[in-house]
Amino acid sequence: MNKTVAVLGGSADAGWVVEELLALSYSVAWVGQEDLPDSPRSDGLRAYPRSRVSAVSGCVGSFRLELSAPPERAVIDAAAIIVAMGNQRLPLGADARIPAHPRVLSTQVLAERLSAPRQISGIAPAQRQHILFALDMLELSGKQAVVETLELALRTHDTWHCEVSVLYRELQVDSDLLESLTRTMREQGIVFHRLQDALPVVDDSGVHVKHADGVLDGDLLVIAPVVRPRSDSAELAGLLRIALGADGYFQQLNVRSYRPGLSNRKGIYLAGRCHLDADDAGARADAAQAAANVAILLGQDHLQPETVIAEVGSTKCIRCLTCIRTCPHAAVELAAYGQVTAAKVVELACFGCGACAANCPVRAITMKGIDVPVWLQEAALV
Amino acid sequence: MPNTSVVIIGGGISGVAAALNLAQRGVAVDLVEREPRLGGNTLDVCCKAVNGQCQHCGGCLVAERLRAVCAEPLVTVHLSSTITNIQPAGDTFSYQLVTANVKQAKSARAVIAATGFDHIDARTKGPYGYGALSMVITGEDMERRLRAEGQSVYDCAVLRDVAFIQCVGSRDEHANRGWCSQVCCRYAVRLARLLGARSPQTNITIFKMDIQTAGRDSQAFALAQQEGIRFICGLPAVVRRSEKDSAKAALLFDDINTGQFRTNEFDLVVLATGIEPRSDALQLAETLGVERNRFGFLASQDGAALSIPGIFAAGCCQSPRSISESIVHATAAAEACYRYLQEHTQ
Repeated sequence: MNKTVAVLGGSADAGWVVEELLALSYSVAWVGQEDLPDSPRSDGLRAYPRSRVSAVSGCVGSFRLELSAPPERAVIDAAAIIVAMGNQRLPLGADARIPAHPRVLSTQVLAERLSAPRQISGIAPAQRQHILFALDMLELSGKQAVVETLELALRTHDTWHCEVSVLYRELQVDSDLLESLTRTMREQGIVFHRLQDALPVVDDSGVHVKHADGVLDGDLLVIAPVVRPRSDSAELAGLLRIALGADGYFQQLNVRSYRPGLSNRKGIYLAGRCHLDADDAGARADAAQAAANVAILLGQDHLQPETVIAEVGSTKCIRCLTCIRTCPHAAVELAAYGQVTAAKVVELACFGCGACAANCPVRAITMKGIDVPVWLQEAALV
Repeated sequence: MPNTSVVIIGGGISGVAAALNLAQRGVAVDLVEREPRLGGNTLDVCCKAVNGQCQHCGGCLVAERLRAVCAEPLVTVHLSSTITNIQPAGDTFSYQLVTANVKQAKSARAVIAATGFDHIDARTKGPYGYGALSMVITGEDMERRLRAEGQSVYDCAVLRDVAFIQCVGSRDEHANRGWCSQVCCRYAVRLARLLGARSPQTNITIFKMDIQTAGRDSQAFALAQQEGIRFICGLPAVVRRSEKDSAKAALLFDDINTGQFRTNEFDLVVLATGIEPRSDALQLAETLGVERNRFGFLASQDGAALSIPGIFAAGCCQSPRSISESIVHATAAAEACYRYLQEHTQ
């Protein structure tokens, strides 16, 4: 059995997935649109930097991915696919409500200045400055943005010994890390204020932000990153025939087969921040989960279908394609049964959810493995 | 990997998920549960789909795993059983399995603690009147009722005003519970949305400190606001029986937005109680010889590995977690355990 795993995405998340897979001795084909980060040299790893997936065929155990990678085209045969393309952060100027002013910075810019010595902005010596860090400014910040911003605020305080305040709407404390972080920050004299709806006002005298107890004046305003799904998520989702949630992130939509890290197709798994909001530690744990999913799939000698799967009665099928449209798992296709053409369930790809059987207008589909009459199955499924 | 076995203490969702993961990798597992059934706290979790739309609470992830673990030949389930006397013996651990007063000496190559959590007793928060006022219930009470009787119990609800109070027992340094329980905001918002959809004439208010939306639940929070659920910043000081209508509860709270004390009346008050370490967590830690963090959860430096090599923690005994997060953590614990076994097997 082919034991190659294709990892799609050039993000840090993908790097951790590759590391986990190599530790489990799988062959890995790593495809990313950008230059891929340095990875452990390994015989099991083939990297395809600056490559795009242009076509996908096959099913679990035997996917075939075609890449358009200049100068030549490449083909990958993989037993499983892990999507780990990460997310993207919007530039500060993307939203017109954030005033464009040298006093308003992104966390990235501040982090760069922090590593350069002494002067913050050329306005005043660092010690006398008051730097405001704003979470939840335009929308509630996610975990990644919260952790990054709070850590940066603490580091700024430690490095420049200046006054630091944090503005928030809903302060996130829901993990060991965040909790000890906010505690340490408070102990060091960093003040937290709850934001009001008004937007910050910036002029030459400083930054002015309204909060629950009054107005806060500062010299610099550092805004937490706004994170979005990558713009090419939809294209890849279309090629792989996997689902995107309403928010544009990859998400398993079929409740009956929802499991952490699974996509809606057998053999395609999700890892990292293309499907969840997590800080680095969370994304790393998710990479391990994705690798474990693959290990469970490929740990068998040969792939086996689920105990309960759908089966089409080819003589009853009227080729209305309802099942092909309904199947949440892209597991039904048209096939030739001798002379006739009818719907056919790809056994390995079927989750056994029963959506097709419930919707077939001529009751041509039964659930193999369930010993109850079709009408009862339908009653139970609808 | 022949002749290796792992003992997992606790048959809740974390223990079951870890057992399944190890069994699927060919490792024999003894799964020890002190109750007469598997599932632990998750057995009280109800489906919270709103108008048929899944809210990803994870409640439905349990049943199929329980079925799967019972069918798994490599997993031996010991119900109504406990473990005593765990001793490291070279590369293995010897222990006694106690089932109905019958002791049995066994050994394992590694140990996974998955003992879960206790719900914080709402009675410890005296001013909220839980146990004394009939219209004050907890989130788990509501879940249990929904689970037993189905979502339609609230279809003809005669509830005009319902309040949810967050952080009952959590984030409370005075009660020595400084941690965030991580699940209460999510289940309360889901339950509130479910109630709102089932009983549209009900006005719902959620009293909160900070809604914990990190992760992917900010959408649910935004939807709840769109659906007319009111969020008030600040927790009520006290819940009393209303003087005007003895079937109602009167909540006295300090409205941070206006800076004034107010009293509002509600037909039902739901306390979103949190998660705390098991009452016998200290005993477990001493039996295993591992350390606990300052809140009493098992302390781990790196995800799942505890302070003694070969002993791992999965799920809520290490930190509060949701069902799906527990499954992910248990998988990680099983992975760490599997690698430990590979390294320590000749």
